Amino acid sequence: MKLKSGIFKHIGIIAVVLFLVSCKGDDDAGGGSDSFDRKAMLANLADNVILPAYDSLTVATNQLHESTEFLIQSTTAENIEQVRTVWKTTLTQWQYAGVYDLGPASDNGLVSFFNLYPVSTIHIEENIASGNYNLESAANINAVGLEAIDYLLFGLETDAEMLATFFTENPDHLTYLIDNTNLLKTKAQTTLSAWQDGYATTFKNASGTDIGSALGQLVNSSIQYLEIHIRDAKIGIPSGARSSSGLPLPLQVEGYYNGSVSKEMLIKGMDGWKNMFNGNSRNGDQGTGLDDYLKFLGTSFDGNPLHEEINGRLTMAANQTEELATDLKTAVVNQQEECLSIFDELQRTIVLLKVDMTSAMGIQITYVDNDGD
Amino acid sequence: MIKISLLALGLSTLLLTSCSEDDDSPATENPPQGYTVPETYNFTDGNGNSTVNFSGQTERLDQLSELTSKMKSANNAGTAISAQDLKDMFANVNNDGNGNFSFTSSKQLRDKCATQFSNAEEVKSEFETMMDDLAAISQATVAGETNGQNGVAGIVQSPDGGPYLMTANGQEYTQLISKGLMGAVFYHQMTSYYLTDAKIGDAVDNSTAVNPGEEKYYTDMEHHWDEAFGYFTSATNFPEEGTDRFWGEYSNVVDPQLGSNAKLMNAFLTGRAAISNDDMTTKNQQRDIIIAEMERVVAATAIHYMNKARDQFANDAKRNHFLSEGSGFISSLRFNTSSTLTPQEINSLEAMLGDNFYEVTISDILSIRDELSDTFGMNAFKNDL
Repeated sequence: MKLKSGIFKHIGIIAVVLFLVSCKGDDDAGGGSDSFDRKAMLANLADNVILPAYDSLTVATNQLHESTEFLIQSTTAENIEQVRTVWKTTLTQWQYAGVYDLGPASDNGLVSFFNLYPVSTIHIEENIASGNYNLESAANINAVGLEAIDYLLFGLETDAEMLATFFTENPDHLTYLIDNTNLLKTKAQTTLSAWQDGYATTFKNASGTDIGSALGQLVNSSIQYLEIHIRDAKIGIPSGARSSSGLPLPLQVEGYYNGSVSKEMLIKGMDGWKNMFNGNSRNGDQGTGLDDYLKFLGTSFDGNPLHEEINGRLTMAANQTEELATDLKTAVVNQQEECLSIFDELQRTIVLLKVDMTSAMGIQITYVDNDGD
Repeated sequence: MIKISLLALGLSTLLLTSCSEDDDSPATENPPQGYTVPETYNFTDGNGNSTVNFSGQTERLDQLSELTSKMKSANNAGTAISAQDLKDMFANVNNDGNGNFSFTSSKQLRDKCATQFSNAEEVKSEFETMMDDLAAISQATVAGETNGQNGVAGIVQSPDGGPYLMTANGQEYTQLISKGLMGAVFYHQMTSYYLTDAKIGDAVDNSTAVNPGEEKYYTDMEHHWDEAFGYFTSATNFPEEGTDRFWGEYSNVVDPQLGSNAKLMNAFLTGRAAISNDDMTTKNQQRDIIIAEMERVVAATAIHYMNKARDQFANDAKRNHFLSEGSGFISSLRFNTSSTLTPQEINSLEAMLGDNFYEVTISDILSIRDELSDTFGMNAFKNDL
């Protein structure tokens, strides 16, 4: 209760700040009255963070598609292992690209198609059996993407030799695998092209802080991504933090059939998120990001600079994850308390972002659905 | 805790008001000469008697509010609603919706439904068929169960979404009926009846008070204009109030991009002042502004819901809910007799969405959005709606 009343107080402040900001209305780019060079920040994010993330994702999905198509002519254990390796690479690249759920990514539904879990193996098998499916249909959301591929690569047979034999004897399963890799390849490529063919410019030029601005969209989509796809999906739901019984749900981990990637992907997911926040490229180059904007604004929390507090909590969560003895599938059962404490750390980070950061920047949270009807 | 929120709300309202001078003042681009336009919808005759009355419209808005609440009650698993109750509310049987309204009124929604179309009876029975279907699927829900899914009618709930009662095809009839009636009754009566030449044209009487003995101090023309206004909002001080339901609410939703609140309110105020001052030219200009802007509000709201459905594509409850709302607004477009889109074009937009909202694709959703934004010149801000 105490925490909640704190939040409400902050929301009140945000509301007032927002309206104050909206009254100024003398900035062509739409809101934002300070002298921070947001345009430079957006340019860094677009050129050095976002575009490279989509580029890497596109390379990975192309390889994934090629390697699965190659299985048609050569269904060997070696080639199966190759596909499995590229699957993991693609899943890793996704951790760095997923956070940008705006513009072309939303028009292509990347977060819906790439990596939602758990998938329904019954639905996947039904699709394969009927041979009649449109993977783009909303009805197939629980039967597509990297997690459907996880099932096809690791859930049917563990041994690569056996899986090779399985695909030879069940070519419809292989077809379904290839259709999925093709779907991801197309979506990654389309998104990258849209960024290259104009959206990057649109993004850089929308340098205000109002609802339609690049920053407004980035802040909203990235916090929502952190809430739904990192905090809840990766750790909250499997550890039982999101169910009424509180019991761990190991079936709900990322890459369940592979069984040994969920811990690493949680760390990578947080790392990808931090790259966005800090404007850092994958090779570690430190560019201008939201952290620099907060530094410029001089925002503090509990006596510390807010951006340090946010980075500190994310690092803490990553360190705690690193210390888990096993993959999450086992850890949520054997080390549930430790898992819940990672969840808590993320939860606290989100409050700082959603309340303190947005009010300092004058950004309105718009994704909370208050559609009363 | 609540106090703090309310305080914040109060403060923000104050701030809103304080910075609204620029865009909410009733001044038009070419302010009429020789008479003033008030800031709120209050007009009086030479003796100071109010000439404004749109109580019949307010009563119909109240009826749709309560009809919608009744339908929404079926979103709670285990709550069955009766088709007869819904139809009695639609036709306002016995002046109180046969006991279903909390108030009495001599007006009804049904006899104002699609009146300007030759197939009005067909439209009414389409709504009543949906009421039958909604009631039927509500009978089958079981408390505590959320079994609605592709192919199965029932309660659909997903994280942060719902519960909503949906058909086996993911359509939420409550929204289709509620938004549909906003189109078939309110929008239709406003654009295609009261704001037509038959009701406010230059030949309509504008010199005689209808019946001062019954406190009807208004002329026919004034009254008809007021009735159009009453279908837009019940608040004489819109948008300070009146953004809570129906067209006032949705104008407010798309106002950041369209500036529709001020455009519509200014046009209603200016046109009404023009009528009271016998300035027919200004009245006719304002009428045209209202009809065009209302259509833009309908289209922009449909775009808004297509965007929301895209953003919640993987969430069955939310996506289908938003598509049901959007679909209701798309179908509303046809109830304007001077509609920009032909009935065939509106049919084809609906066909793009398909019959089964569970099986929609993002490209279906975006095609509809882009078709609307091309038609109404909203490409520059379609993503922000």
